[in-house]
Amino acid sequence: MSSGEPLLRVDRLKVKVEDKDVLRGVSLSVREGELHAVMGPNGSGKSTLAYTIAGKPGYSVVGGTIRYKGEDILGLEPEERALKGIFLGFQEPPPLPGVRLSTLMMVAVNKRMGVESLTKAADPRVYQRLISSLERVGLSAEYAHRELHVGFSGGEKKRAEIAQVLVLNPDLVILDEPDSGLDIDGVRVVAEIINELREKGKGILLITHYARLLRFVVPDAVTVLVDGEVAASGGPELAQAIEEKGYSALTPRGG
Amino acid sequence: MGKPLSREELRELASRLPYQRVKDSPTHPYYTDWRVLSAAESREYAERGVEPPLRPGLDPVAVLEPCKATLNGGTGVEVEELRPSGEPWRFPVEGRLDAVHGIRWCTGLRLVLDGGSAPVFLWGGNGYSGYHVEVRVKKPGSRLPIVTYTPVGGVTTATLLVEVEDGASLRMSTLNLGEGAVYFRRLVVLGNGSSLESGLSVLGGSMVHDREDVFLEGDGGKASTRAGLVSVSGEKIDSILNVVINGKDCEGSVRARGLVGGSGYLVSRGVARVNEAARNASAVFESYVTVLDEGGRGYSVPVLEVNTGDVREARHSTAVMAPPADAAFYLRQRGLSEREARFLLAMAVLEYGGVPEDLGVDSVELAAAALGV
Amino acid sequence: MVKTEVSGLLPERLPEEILGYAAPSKARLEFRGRISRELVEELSRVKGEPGWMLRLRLRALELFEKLPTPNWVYGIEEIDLEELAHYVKPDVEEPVKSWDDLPAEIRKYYEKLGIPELEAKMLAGLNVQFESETVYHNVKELLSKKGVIMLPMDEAVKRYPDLVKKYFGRVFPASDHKFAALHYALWSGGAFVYVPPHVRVPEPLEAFFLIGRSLESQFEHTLIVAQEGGFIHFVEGCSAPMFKGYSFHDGMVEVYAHRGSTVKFTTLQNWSRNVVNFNNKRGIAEEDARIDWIEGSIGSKITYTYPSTVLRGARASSSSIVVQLAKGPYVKDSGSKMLHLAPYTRSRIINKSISVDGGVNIYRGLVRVAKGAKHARSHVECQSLILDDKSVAYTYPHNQVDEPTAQVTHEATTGKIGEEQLFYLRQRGLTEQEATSLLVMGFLEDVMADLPFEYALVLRRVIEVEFARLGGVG
Repeated sequence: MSSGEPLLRVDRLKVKVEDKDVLRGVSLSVREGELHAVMGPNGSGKSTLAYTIAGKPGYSVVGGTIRYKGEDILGLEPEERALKGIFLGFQEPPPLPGVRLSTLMMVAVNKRMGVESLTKAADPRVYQRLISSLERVGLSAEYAHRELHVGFSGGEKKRAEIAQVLVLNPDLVILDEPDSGLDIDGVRVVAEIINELREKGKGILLITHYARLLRFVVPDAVTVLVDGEVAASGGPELAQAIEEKGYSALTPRGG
Repeated sequence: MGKPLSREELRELASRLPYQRVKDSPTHPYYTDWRVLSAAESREYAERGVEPPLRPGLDPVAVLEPCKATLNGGTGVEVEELRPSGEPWRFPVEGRLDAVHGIRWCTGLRLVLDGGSAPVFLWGGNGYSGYHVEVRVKKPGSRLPIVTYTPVGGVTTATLLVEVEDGASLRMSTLNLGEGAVYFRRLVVLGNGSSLESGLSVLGGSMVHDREDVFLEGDGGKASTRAGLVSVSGEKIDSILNVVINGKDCEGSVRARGLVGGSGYLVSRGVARVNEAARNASAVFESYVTVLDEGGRGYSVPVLEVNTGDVREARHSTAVMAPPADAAFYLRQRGLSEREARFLLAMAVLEYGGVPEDLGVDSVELAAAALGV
Repeated sequence: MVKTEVSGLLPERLPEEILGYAAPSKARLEFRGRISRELVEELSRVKGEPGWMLRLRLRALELFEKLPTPNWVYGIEEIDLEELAHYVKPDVEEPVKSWDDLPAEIRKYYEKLGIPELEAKMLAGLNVQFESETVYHNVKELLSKKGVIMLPMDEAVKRYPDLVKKYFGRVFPASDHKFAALHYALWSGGAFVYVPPHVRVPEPLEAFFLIGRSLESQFEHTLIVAQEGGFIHFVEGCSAPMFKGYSFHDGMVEVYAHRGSTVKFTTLQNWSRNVVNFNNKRGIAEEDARIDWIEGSIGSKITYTYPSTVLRGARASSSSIVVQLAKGPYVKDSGSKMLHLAPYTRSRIINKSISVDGGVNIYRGLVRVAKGAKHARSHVECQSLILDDKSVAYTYPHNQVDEPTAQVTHEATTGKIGEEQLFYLRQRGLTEQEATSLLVMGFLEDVMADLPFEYALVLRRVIEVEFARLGGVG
């Protein structure tokens, strides 16, 4: 990767979902150590952007490119992208009956270390790291053995997603509404972690509807999506303006 | 329990009884494919038992093979060989195969558990194998790990009769490794204040009919069954888990998780019955079946029979469905291939009853055996 | 409010109390005894039917003789078909259009039930059957102007043979079970309804069935066809006075909902405790069509009813809501069936049962998703309330999924009224009976919300009255 190349570069991205144009030419980039906030009203295409970068089946790219660490990743399977260091924290993670968080993390770390065995811990410290990560996000160690996202509250789901970032140590962290359903203490913890990740040089794409979280983390760049297009881009002052005036001020179509 | 039957009566029933008296449903008259299991009537006895490719890490107190028992013994356990004799047959006969089994089984055990652990292996062979095990549980803390395996082409019938005496408790872990045709019935009767924790893992075979009936006869009894069932392409499982409450202040629960891969077929059914004599009972039946692929069939039939208004809780809930939306993508986003994601789901199901842990079986190997990879 | 206005459909008192003991009424014709080819031929002859209908009857008779008695049916052995009158023609030659033209002893039943007032108040059409034949039939002119046909079934066979032939027996085949075959061999009465394309019938149509004597069979056949985009709400009510012995009802409903149409079918069953009630109901829903079954099952000695929908077209949907009350030595055996045969089909089943005083409630359901019915969804909810130690509730659901993208979920609970709840209400000044009644109504509340107002009111009253009669519940 050339030194000038950002970690993630999305260029004129057009995406169709079930024959509907959801993204209609979106460009943005995330550099190492940069926090890029993507904002926009409901249905503006924010989650679609996250899913498309992660390679969700059914999200067809009909135009534009996504480059990660200088490489075109559009042809890669979701797991290949994940193993290259892209992590998506889901807005609504699905319940996985019978699958414990500890098992999943063991497998996921093994895969990242190139170890064949699915459940024999290749790195004995993984479990310890999981427990401390859970504690860090305010979940008890017991959550390691619970079926992942089964019967979790909205806030617990968000915390469990963030804990996985700490275990897996990805390079690009996409967080889709990581603060919804969280109480104020939860929001603070998430903000703290995001700031730490940034300091460690991770690239962060933060998708958020409300500017609430942005009171605790100051983004380096802000992109506002409306109807699948970039309606505005700028610095932290843009988030500030949205918090004060709402999206309608930015919507040429009048909202 | 049914009335004891002489050999002559059994012969008469075996020639007269249908496989089942009442059809299962208007669209699907028999959930069990009796044509496959009917081999138990006429197949020659297998010459020897075949060990499964997956060996449990436990030392058995007894290994049963066709017409041969190897006894090792253990602490807190009495074990003796049981052979068919002139004694009347006590296991309830409801259909033709029960009667056939009553006549044809040739190896058996009698166990007394005084708080010890008694692992028992039943190895079927390339032919007919028939086993009968009777267990009396006298003390709390007793454990009964059972593994049964029938190779492809073999047919096995087995019955297990367990009586848990007043105040005693049993942890029963059953691993039914399937492959061939298997007809396995277990009947557990609990006395006053006794308890049963039953874990079950069933892998599909050409036709696996796996049934467990738990009777809470005494007051204050507790029974919980947790089962994980996996059936993949070409395999069939009919799992029946029943709990019947007759005593006062009892708790009975059945929880099953099923996974169907490829063109597998899985029926998860059972009856939770609260009889009139039961008072203040709690009965729960839960069954969730996940169908992964085109061509797979998953059925759930959770029956609730409540014969008294004096119940604390009686409910069932079931679902038959694809994995939760996004589950596959979620796992792939964490870096797993589709194959590995399936593996993880199969493992989750097979570990559900705690069986691999109890038997010292590696869950990954077990999932591999279940998925046939 | 309006107690008298809506008293018609279902009485506030038990049917036998309203209707009293059966008054002798004259029969013009009566067939009894062995069910034979001769009997069927004679029935067809007196009805003056076309040859194809006679052939259909005879084929059904053959099936009836061949098919086994269903062995899962609870208490069916009590029926001795040989001792029943299979056809009773009341003393009315042709259906009349004015209540005044009915013989007084027949008219009296309907007046006691308040049917004429109900008709005037809210019905677009009414078909009234006594014993085996329609005796009163009246349809608002507006309907015929829109091309809607509502006729006594017997008349429709003669006047619209091609239309009837196309649907009759096609939704619910005679081969389905022994009593379906018997029904087709001996059917008489019922109503035929045809809704032309894109016609919406704003007010309900109703059929009311009354059995007036002991040891009689009633085999009415109702057939509803809604063409593309049509809408109709059909209501059937049933009742009977008290008599010694029993009578047998083996009626049938067939619904054919073409593309984009909606058929709502409501049954309020309050037979007297002498009637063994076999109610066969099935609908076919084509693309984007919807069939809703609602059943309030209160009376009868034994009831067997299994509203079923075959979801044959993509995006077809169906719901079935059954409220059943089993009180005393009586049995309700019911269950809804949904067969998903096409993609994106949806179904919902809600069954609520109340068992009291030794009553037996049974739910036998089936949700089947065939291969290829992609993304089909079904949810089943069974809730049983058992009010005392003698009463029972059984739930036998079958969920069969052959399509991996489908989702079938099922939940059932069986319980009693909590002592805490009772005490709380008594502490607020209610008697135990009032409290029980209130809690039972609460249990049914969400179902009531789905009923048309007038019918919900009637059903509520019936249940309240039933509970007012319970001495010392709990």
